[in-house]
Amino acid sequence: MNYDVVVIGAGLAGFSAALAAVKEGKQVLVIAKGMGNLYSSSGYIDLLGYYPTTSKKPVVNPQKILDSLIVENPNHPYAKVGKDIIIKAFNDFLLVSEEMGLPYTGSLNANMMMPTAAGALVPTTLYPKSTDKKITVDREIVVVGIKELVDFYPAYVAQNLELQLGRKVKPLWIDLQLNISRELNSYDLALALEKPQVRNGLIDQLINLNVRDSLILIPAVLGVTRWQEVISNIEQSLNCELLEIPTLPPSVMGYRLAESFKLYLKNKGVEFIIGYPVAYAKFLDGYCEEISIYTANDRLKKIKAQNFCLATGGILGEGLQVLPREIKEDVFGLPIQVPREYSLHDFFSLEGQPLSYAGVNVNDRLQPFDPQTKETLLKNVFVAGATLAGYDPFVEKSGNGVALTSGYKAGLLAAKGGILNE
Amino acid sequence: MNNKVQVVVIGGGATGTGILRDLALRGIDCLLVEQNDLATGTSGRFHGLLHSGARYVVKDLHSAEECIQENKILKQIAPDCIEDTGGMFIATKNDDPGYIDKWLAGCAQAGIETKEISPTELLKEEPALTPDVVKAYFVPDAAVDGFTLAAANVLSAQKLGAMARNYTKVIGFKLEKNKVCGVYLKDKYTGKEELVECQYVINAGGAWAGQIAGLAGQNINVNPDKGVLVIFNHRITNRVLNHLRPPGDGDIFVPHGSVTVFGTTSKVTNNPDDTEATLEEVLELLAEGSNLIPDLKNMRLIRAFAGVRPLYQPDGGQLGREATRDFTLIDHSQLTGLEGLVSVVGGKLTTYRLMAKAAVDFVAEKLGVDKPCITHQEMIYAPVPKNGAKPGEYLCQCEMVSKKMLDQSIEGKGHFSLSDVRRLTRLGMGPCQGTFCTFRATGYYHQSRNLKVTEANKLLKDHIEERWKGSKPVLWGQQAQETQLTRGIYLGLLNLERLESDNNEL
Repeated sequence: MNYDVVVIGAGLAGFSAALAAVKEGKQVLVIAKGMGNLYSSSGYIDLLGYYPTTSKKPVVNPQKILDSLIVENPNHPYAKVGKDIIIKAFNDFLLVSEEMGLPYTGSLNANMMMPTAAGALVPTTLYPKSTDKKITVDREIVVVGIKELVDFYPAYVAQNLELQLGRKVKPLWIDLQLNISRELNSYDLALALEKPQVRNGLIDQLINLNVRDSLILIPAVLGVTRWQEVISNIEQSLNCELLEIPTLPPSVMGYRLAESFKLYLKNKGVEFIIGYPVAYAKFLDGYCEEISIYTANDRLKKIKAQNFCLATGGILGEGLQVLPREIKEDVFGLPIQVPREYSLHDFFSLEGQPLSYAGVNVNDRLQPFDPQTKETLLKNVFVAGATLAGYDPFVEKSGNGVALTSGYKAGLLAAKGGILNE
Repeated sequence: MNNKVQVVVIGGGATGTGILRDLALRGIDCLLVEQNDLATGTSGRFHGLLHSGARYVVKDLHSAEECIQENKILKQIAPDCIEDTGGMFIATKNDDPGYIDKWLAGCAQAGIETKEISPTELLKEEPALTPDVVKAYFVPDAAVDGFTLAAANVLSAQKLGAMARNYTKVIGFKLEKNKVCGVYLKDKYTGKEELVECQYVINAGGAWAGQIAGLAGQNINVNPDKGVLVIFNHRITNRVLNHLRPPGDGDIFVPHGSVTVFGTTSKVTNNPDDTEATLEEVLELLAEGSNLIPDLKNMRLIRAFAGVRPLYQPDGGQLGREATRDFTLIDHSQLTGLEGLVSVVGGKLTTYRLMAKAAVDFVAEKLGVDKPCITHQEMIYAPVPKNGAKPGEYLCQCEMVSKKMLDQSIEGKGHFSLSDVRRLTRLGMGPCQGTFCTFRATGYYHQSRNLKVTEANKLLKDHIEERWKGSKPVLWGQQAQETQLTRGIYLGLLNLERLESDNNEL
């Protein structure tokens, strides 16, 4: 098998790389050992929520603050990607999201505060249009929990929201009476609510609870693929606004984005091999020539490409393997600087954890380089997403933003042989 | 509360709670005080092995005999607290064959039943074991839950009118004419101090017994000895696994619920609160354990912790592994002339009931009570039994903890933490280490107990921090990945780290 670009990893960084490369007319393969982290993510694309990470105040204008970040943190992935490409990647994604049938909205100049399943507010930059509902609206706010779902507690959400909004938020429970003899997760319920009779049960109960005309916050379970139909059906029946809140994994909002994006790429001609880890890689003179995978019958399958994108999802995605005193990069064996301590702080510390900052060091072409010698290690490999060093996505709220933008740049560079003509 | 009792028991471990129950069964009015929650000292920080005694037969026959006697009694009276897994001793080709004969002779002498099984047969039943097994024997070891045991003792005593107060620290003794006649207590939550008068105090403070006796001006030589343990995310073997060799580091594996506890080390420490394991200690343990379980280093660790053995040496004798596991009753009137105080030190969890009996026999005589000990005849029960809830009622699927169990675990409690709940239910002790159930239990309690939302937030954060503390020394492999998932959920998705402080500009 021979491709122009092979993307290793099927999360948002990998998809974004594949998108950028296929738009350049390249033949692209995405290969991944698992489903990718996108399926369990919130589905929001947050550029930057807090800066510096220890700040307790959310970033109001993320595009503006990028300038300081890039100057002050030259090792941050955003500094390697550069502001122009960051903006381009976000804007391209907005267009593509329309085409993939899951339209997103938002502005790089203004973060939006979204309620979380704990009733905190989290800043994000791009979000599905179906969630474009301001929590500061004049309508009455109601938080609805579903008895069958063990991962959402409306009173807890409502009271935390009250503290922050300084206004009344009403919690309510509904019981879909599905009589399924196990605890249900978000995905189970989202499938169930695609059925009209289940959905009508939900609507009837909401009508009985007098929540017409309200802003209803509800866990994101309103359909897996037919979410548009489910949401508009309920909104029209109640003359209300529905705002879905992303849930603990499995996250339906992450699932929708992952599935829609993947289908879109497939339609553009991107090929996928999911479920196969890279067995080994072959190098020649600072280039990766080919990678191989073991197929089901244990035969070695060789895959050649001009250029590769490494978007393996860091520690969570198993792109980085943590050992007691060593961290291994899973595909190419790239060197990783090991922090002296893996964890320094309390769990909830705003400093982040040293382990999270570990990753592959790259130059501003996203090529891996040796942090000691500054020598470029592989000239046709471009690294993206959580496998990159230099940031802790969880405290600064930049995970999907870094994935989207570094993936985009890695894909472009891979399509153009490592040189961008700006 | 009643500020006068006959006996105050200090320490809510197995020994202290066992004493409370024994006192209550003999009709003696008593109060137990514990500085933290029940079994948060050594009784909750050990491998959870109910010894058959086989480990001690060569060096310490007396301890071995006590162990097998108590092993049989506890299996009878406390089935809620024990999983009768059985145990095995295995010798590998690298072990001294001469030791096996000495060990077998010791077991016979102590009355510990052993049953040989061929290595081939054993490997069929326990495939994780090293193929280098040359000799293997089954013994009546079992897994014991120290948290449940302490709570069951207290429940049994409370039914007879005894009182127990956790999160209550002894800050001093009331002394009159060289006699202890009361204890000054401080409530950890409210900060309130008070005096409880009594005729006798039994110091069952374990590794803290020296500090407590110090408050009465007494000097007793308790040598805290630190042992490191780790927890794997699955049951590696179905029976307790012991290495058939002179007792050493890293030679005990105990299956508990859905996990395995593996240990230990032995290192003298001067601080009984020294309960953090280091990376080096964990790596040393794993290297040792790999001799019995070859694949050990690839298995997923979820936690490391340390417990402190309360070893006692009257004349500053042997330390660490060489120190006796026997217990000692210290009559302070013999030692310094101070009346009204007895300290019970040393020993181990398996023989807690015997220690309690000895202490209560002594005190009962002083009080003129002639009722005999009957703790070996009466059953004790877990306050939160595993009950078959309806499907849909479980909030922790790793350890199958239902809503009803969450209710039962905090019955009658004003203050509680999720750690208190965990000790009684195993909530958050399984493979996900609280990643999912902490959130669920918080949401559940917030509504069912009508908590303020700030209290609920604290409940959640304290538990996540507590689980984090234990995973820090084992942050590699799949646990590093799991930790990132937990961070992704609580920081990334829920944004809880800024919840308290955030005045968001919308």
